[in-house]
Amino acid sequence: MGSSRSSALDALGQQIEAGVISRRQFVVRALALGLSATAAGTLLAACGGGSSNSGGGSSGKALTGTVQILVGYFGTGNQPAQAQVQEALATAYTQLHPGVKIEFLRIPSSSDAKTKLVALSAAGAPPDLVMPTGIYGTSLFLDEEIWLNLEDLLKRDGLTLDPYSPVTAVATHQPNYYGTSATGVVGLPVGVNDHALAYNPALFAQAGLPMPPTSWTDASWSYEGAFLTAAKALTLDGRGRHPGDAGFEPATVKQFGLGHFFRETLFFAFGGKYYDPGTKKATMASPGGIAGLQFASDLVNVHYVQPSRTVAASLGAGGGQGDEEQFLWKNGQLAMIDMGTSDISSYGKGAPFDFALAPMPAGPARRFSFLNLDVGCVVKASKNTDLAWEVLKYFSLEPDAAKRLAYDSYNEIPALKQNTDVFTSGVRSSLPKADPKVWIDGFEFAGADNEAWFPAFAEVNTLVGKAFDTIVDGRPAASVMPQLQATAQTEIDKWFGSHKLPS
Amino acid sequence: MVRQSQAAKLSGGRRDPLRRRNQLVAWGFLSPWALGFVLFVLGPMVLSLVVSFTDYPILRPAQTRFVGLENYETAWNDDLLRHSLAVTLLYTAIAVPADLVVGLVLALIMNVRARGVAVFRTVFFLPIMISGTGGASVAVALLWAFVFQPRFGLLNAVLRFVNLPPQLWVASTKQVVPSLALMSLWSVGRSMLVYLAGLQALPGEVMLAAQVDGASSWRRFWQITLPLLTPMVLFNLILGLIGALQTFTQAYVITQGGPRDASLFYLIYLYRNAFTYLDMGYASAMAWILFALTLALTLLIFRTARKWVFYAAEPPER
Repeated sequence: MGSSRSSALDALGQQIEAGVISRRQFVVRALALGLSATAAGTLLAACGGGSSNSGGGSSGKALTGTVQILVGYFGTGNQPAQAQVQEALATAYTQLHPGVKIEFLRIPSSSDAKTKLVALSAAGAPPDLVMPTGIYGTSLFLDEEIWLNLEDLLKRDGLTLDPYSPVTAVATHQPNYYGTSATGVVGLPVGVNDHALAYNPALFAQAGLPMPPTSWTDASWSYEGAFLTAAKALTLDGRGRHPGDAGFEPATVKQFGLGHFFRETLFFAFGGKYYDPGTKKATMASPGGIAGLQFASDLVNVHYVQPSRTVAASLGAGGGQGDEEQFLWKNGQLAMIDMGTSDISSYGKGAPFDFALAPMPAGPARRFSFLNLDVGCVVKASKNTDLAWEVLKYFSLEPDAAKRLAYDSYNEIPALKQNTDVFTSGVRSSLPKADPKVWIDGFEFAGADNEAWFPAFAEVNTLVGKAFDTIVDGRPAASVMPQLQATAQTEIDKWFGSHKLPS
Repeated sequence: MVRQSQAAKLSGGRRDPLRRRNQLVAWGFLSPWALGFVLFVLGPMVLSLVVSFTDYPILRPAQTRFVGLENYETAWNDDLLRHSLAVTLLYTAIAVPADLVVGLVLALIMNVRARGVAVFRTVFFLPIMISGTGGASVAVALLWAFVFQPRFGLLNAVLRFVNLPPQLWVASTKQVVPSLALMSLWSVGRSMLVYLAGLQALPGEVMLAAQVDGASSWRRFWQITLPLLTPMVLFNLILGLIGALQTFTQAYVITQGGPRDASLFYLIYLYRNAFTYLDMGYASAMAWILFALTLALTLLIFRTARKWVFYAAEPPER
């Protein structure tokens, strides 16, 4: 009896040291084993419990209650295999904290999830956590004060964002809202859908082109230089002629140099910026922004290296839902595409060729790729914020749980620095020609510029989307962008008329 | 007045305990519906009318403020609202007549006395069972997204089969509204059924008399069948109009208002204001504008109906 109690106490000691049970649970279980309260407290101190980073109840309160997590809000996570991992993690957490129940509220489409979040919040019954949430998703409602600023909780628990890749930590600060002192934290990072340029090596070889570099600092790989040259050489009309050749027929192009590529990438790489927090002005019509959008339009309408929306729809198989180009890529009709890590399961797998990876080309102003960070957010109106925070810490900071959630469930690069290896080894084993280092190295050039909050975020983004559509359809960027900037400014001014930034 | 007092006499006056008991029983049976109507229809309607005069940030209700007619003024000057209204009216102008005509043709075909016709009637009505209000559920919309798919979709397969060029359908800014109107025929079984009921109630002796007098089939249809069916046409027209003005699901699921806002139906724009911009005051004002428009069009149809709807008891107005 004595030895079994001793081994049980040893096990408890190991659990508290590993941070898998809370101090409270330790004491409760130690008392249940017949220890006096004083002895349990002494043992607890000896084990050093209470400094857990991982949702072990660092506040010292008993962890009991139910945490509801909304899944599907501007992120990923509702595929059966993804849900299975999340359920397993929830079960594991409940085993560590038997008083806690984790429920998932799964909404298949992000727009419906948004409606659900608004409706539940307005009804006074919001979910406790929303995850994964893209930075764009956090921006949509940031000024509606729907998210809890995690700054105080981090301070209270003696935590910092240092364990995360720096670029992910920066993105969580939302400086246009919380201020440039970078103290506000909208959510804890979980995973990154980092972007790079994927290409079909066989098409490059057929065109007699050198393979693109793998280094993000190779200056020769620029949009207006080697990239455009390659895109033209990789574009073929029905008679095998390239853009610029005599008799080239744009209407009969059967192979495009580029596809599934986003005009926003070019806007930022050429020096575009949506908003200047210093002057509170919309800044879309800067020379760089105009040049970037015009280049995006020229790729389609002048160089004919990228299919237009309608051509992609007519050639593809997506039903007008934006995944037409996946068909073209897999069919060998697109030589280069923008590929985020979460595209691996769709664009990456099932293609009859092994794709390779290159960095995003350099623009005149900078090299830019989408960061697409997913975070976990605590809902401010939750009646259970402390418990939600504990669960969020487990999912985001407890290394094993965070690894499984980010990579196994969301198919993303884990935001925890110590977990990036799982992505590297996973890609190496499943995608022989794709060097995962290209994605990882891209962190340094990645930004959430396209997702970061600014005033009247939803309204202005709608205007931006429409204006960019118009330009890519053929209207000159120089005439559209100033108009866009003026209307965006009206919305921004209206926002400042009815809102205030947090002090 | 005379009629009222006669009725009171017949029923034994207001204090008749039987009458009172009947009234109580009637209200007892009606109360679940009446309560539901007040709580879930009338109440929200009144609330939305009040909200339409406010700036109501739904997630910060404490900051709600009365703005008078500001939302209605904004609507008056909103180009996108006008565009969404034009899209909706265009759709209505295509979908409603198409439903009326195709429904009638189908009903005439299904009215024949032939073996197995009941099976076809059922088949044509079946789509209604999986359609939501407005003629499309999410499942139906997803199904049609594949029907419209430019490369592998059913419609383009048919076009290719008959050597016609494939179309972009919902991926085209010009074709998206007609395409969605075409999709609305999925629920044509509803109007077909109404016409069918009308056709089967036609007085046989009148048709027989016309036939004996040597009237051709076309003339019998044009001068007897159709006039006698006009109450059903009116019914289908009103229902079709109201449904078309409320088109939402199919556009929300298939196009989200695109491409390039070409299918930005009024309700899609309303929804965007409510749940993307969280501008509930403006969205409520939009809802009441649509209500007023629907009411006005319905009243207009009722007013003109006196000239073209024929009820068997009285001849149409000249």
